[in-house]
Amino acid sequence: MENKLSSIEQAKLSRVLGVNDQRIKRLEAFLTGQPLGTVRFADVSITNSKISSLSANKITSGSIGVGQEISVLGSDGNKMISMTDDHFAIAKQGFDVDTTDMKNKIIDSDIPCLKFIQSGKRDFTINSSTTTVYEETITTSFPIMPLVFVYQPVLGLYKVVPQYQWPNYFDEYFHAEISFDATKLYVTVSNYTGAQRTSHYYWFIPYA
Amino acid sequence: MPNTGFKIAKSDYNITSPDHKMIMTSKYPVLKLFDSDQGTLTKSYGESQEVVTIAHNLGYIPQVYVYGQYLNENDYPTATVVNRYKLFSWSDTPGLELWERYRYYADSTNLYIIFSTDAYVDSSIDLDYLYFIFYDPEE
Repeated sequence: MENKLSSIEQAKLSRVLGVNDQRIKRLEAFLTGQPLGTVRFADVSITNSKISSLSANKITSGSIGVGQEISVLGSDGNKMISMTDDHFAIAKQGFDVDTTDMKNKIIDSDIPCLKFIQSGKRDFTINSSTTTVYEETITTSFPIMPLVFVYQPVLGLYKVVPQYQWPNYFDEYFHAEISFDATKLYVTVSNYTGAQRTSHYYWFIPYA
Repeated sequence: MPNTGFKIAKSDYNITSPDHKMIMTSKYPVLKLFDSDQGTLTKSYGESQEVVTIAHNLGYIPQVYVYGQYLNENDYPTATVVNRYKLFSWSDTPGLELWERYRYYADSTNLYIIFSTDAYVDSSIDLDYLYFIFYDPEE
């Protein structure tokens, strides 16, 4: 038997589709170019198929089609945030994200930015007249930019670990330096204060 | 700053938390990478200095960072290279056999990586380096 809709069923279905279409058009008319909370959807056509959850002042999920854009204007009228299907950028206050130089942007998805891929803290106790090399495993590929802050127990403050090899006699005889290769970060600590010292350092592996 | 912008909070924090609890916020720029690469600086025997010039042509002085290999002080005069990296700029202690200096700086056009010694060693020296040039200005 052929599976066909009766004329009555076709009429009902057509009416339902028509009502849905009108609802979608009203939703589009309501949203297009209208402020919605702090977000202005000036350039994007939003339909029910793109939004799974819509409340009075926020859209909690959705998608952007090719050529569409969601942008946020700052109080000065500049486009501060732009998001398309393949690009995201934020400009510094007072600059338009579409026209400004890269140095005036907070972030741009076309440009890698520095991220702290690894970090940690090591506590240690070191005897006097001793030099110890502590090793941290690096899992990030080159090029990397290690950064270490060591606590100076006598001075009671943190110092960026110097890179040179010679102790700084003006501070104290407690000294650290770092070097690294593709797999390890080496933190060399020397203690010539005349007493055992308990200290620690924080290490970071920024990567762009 | 007006109440306009973008925030991502760290796990277990809200965007109303203090700024240092944010993954990022449009209040502060992130360092944006213009260029980075690896290379080898070669100082020939008899030369006191070698300069590597890397063009960026940004028109302003960018933030730059250079890390490089260095010499083993205990191997004078062969001056073997330690296969590890340290942040330039630094110099070895004056008065030892090799007074080597590892430096870098940038102007509005180029990044310069400089290696020099006060004493000649009996071979040429190859030092691998890593460099980073950011869009973000020095000041």
